[in-house]
Amino acid sequence: VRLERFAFRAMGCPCELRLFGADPARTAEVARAAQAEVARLERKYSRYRDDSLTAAIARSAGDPGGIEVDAETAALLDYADTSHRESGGLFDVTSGVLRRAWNFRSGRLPSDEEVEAARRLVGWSRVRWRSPRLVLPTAGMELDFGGYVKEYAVDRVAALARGLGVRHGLVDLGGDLAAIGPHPDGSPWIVGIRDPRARGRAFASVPLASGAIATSGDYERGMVVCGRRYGHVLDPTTGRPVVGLASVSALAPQCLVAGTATTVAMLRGERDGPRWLADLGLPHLWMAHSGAVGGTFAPLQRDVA
Amino acid sequence: MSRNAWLRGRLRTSSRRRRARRTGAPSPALRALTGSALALSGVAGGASADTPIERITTDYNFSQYREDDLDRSKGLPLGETSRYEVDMHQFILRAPVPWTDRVDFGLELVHETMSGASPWYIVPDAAGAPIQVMSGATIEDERNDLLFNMNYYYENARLGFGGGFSDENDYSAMNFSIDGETHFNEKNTTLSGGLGVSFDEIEPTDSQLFTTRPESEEKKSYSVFVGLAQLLSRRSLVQSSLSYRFSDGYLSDPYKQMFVVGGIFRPDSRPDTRHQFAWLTRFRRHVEELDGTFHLDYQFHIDTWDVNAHSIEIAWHQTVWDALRIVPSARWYSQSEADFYVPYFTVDPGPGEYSADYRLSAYGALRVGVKAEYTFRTPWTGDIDWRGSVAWERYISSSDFSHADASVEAPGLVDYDVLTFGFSVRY
Repeated sequence: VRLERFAFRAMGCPCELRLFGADPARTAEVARAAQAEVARLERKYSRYRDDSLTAAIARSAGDPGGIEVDAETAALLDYADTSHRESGGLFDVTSGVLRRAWNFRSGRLPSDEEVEAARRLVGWSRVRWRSPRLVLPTAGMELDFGGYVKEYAVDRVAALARGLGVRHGLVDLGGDLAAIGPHPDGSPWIVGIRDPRARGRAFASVPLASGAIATSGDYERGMVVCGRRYGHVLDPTTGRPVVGLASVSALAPQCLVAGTATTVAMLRGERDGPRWLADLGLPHLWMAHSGAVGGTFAPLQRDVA
Repeated sequence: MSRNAWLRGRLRTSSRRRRARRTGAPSPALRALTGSALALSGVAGGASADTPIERITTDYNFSQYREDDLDRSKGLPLGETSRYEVDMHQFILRAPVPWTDRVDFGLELVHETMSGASPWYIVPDAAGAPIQVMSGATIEDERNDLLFNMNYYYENARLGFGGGFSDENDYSAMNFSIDGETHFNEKNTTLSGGLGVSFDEIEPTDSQLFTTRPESEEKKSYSVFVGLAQLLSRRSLVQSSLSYRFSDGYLSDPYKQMFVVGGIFRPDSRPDTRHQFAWLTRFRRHVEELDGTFHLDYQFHIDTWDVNAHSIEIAWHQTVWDALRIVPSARWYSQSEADFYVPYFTVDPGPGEYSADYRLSAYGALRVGVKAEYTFRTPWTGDIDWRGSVAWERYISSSDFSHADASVEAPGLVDYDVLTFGFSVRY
C-alpha cells in the first residue's frame, strides 16, 4: 500500500485527501468520488448560488406554505434543531442574515438600526419545522448551512471512503478533519492546529487515529475598527460579534459534533466556551486572543515563551 | 504568551479533566448531538447506503447449458440419448434517472434458444427396473423475457417494484413484485420483505396428437418473503429469511406422461395447489488478512407435496491484485420424493394424482463451480470500467446423494455443465 495525496479546493477552502491504497487507479477513483460528494454538498447548500436549496429556502420565506425538503436536508435540520436546543440558542442556522449588517470587508460598523433590522430576521425558535415541511414565517429570513455543512461533508467523505474499501486515510476539508483510519501500521495521523497569530504555523499537534477534529477561529475573517477587533462569529441573540477565543478545536467521533462544539464554544466566549467543551466531555484545545491557552490536550511546549 | 496564562490554562484543564472522568458517560448534550449526527445518512458509515446506483451499467452474459447424454443403460436400447441444450443471451441495463436522485431502474432482456430431448415417461425393463423414454430430439424453441424493475430510495430504506413478461411459442407468463428493505440499529440491522404474483398460461404443442396433453391451461402463484440481516461485526453478516409460495392451477408438466404396463398412458397429473415454505440463512465473513470473503448458505424447504429439501452452499470470494476476483463454490442439494411420485404403474390407477418426473423423485445433487472476473482499469479507459468474467459449473445428481430414501433411482436424473461469459461496462 502506498500513500496518495489529492489536493483540491472546495467550499472556499484548500482540501486534501490522504489515502493509502494498493492500486493507484482505484485510489484515484475513491478520491474522485469524494470530491464529487463534496461538490454535491457545496452545490446543494451554497448560499452563493441561485439554484441551490439554500436559495430556494430563502425564496420560500414569508410563504405560510413553506417548502418541503428532502430527507438529507431534513436530517440536517433535525440536527440544527437539536444543536439549537443543546446550545441554549447559540447554534442558530437562521443567523446568517446578520452578515447583511456586518460586512466585514467594509471596515465600517453597522448602525444599531441595521443590526436590529437583521436581528429581527433571526431565530430558529420562530421557524416552524416539522419534517419534511419547513416554514420561515418572515420574508427575508434565511437558513445558512455554511456553519456545519463542511463538517458534515467531512463525515460523509470519510464514510464514503470506508465504504469503498479504504481503511487508512485522512480527510481534511479546510482544517476540519476526520481519520478514515490510522496509518497502515496503526499509528495515528499528526494533525497540526494552526496558530491564530501566525499564518502557516502550528501551535499544537494532535494525534488522530480515529474520529474527527474540528477547529473554529476568528483569525481569518473579521475586521479591526478603531483598534477593536470584531470577529466573524456573530451571536444570534444579540446580533453582534463575539469577542473572545481566537481558536477552538475539539475531537469527537463525528466531525459534525466536533464542529458544533467548537462553534458554540466560540460564541460562548473566553470564559464560558472552555467550560462548555469540558462539560461536553470532548477532548479540546483553545487559545484566547490574550494568548492564554487551555484544554485537555497540550500544545507544543516550544511555543511557550 | 505569559507563563502565567499558560499555567492558568493548564490548571483549568486538569480540573475539567477530573470532572469529565468522574462523569464517565458522555454528557446528555453530547449524546443528543451525537445521536442526531448519526441519524444523518452516511455519517454512521453503515453497511449499505440507500442510494440509487450512480452510473449506468450494462451487462451482457452468454451461457451455454449442456446436459450430458442419457446413460445408455438407463434408456431404451435404440432410443434417443442426447438431452437438452440451452444457449442464453442476457442483456441487463441499470441506470439512475436524471431528474431525481432517489430512483434507479433496471431492464433485463433474455433470449434463450433451447433444443434437444427431454424425459417423457418411464417404462420397466424385463426385470422391472425403470427405463427412461425420451421425447424426440427435435424440440426447438426460443424464449424471450423482458423484465423491468424500479427502486425508490428513502434516507434509510428502499422500495422496489418489478414486472416481467416471458414468451415462448407454447408458454407465456407475467409477473409483478414489490419488495423493500429498511435499516435500523445504526444500519446494523436490515429488515426486508416482498410480495410477488405471477400468471402463467400454457398451450402445449401437438395437443391434438397426444391425449395426455391439455389444450390450454393456466396457473397463478403468489409469494411473500420476510428477512432480517444483522451485521455481527465489521466483517461478518448473517441474514435469515422465510418465504412462502402458494401456487394454484395447472401445476403438471404436459410434456410428461405416465406409463401403465399394457400400453396405456395417463397424463402427468399433480395436485392443483401447492404451498411451499423455505427458510434461508446466509452467513458472510470477510477475512481481511486474505482479502477474501467466505460465504455459507443453508436452505430448508418443505411443501404440501411432501417434498422436503436441504441445500448447503459454500463459496470463497478471493480478490487478487484488486482487479481480479476468483470465486470457487460448491453446493450440495438433497430432497425427498413427492408423495405422488411413481415411475410407472403395473395396473391402471384411473384418474388420480401421479407423476414420473425425476425432479419429484428422491435425489441429491452436487454442484461445483468457479468464476473469475477481471476489472480493466487503464488510463485509456478513463472513467469507464470494463469487466469481463468467465464461469464454469458442473452439476451431477444421483439418488445416492439424497438424505431421503429412494426406493428406486429415477433414471432421468440429469448431469450438466454451464459455461458463462460475461461482459460489463460501467459508464
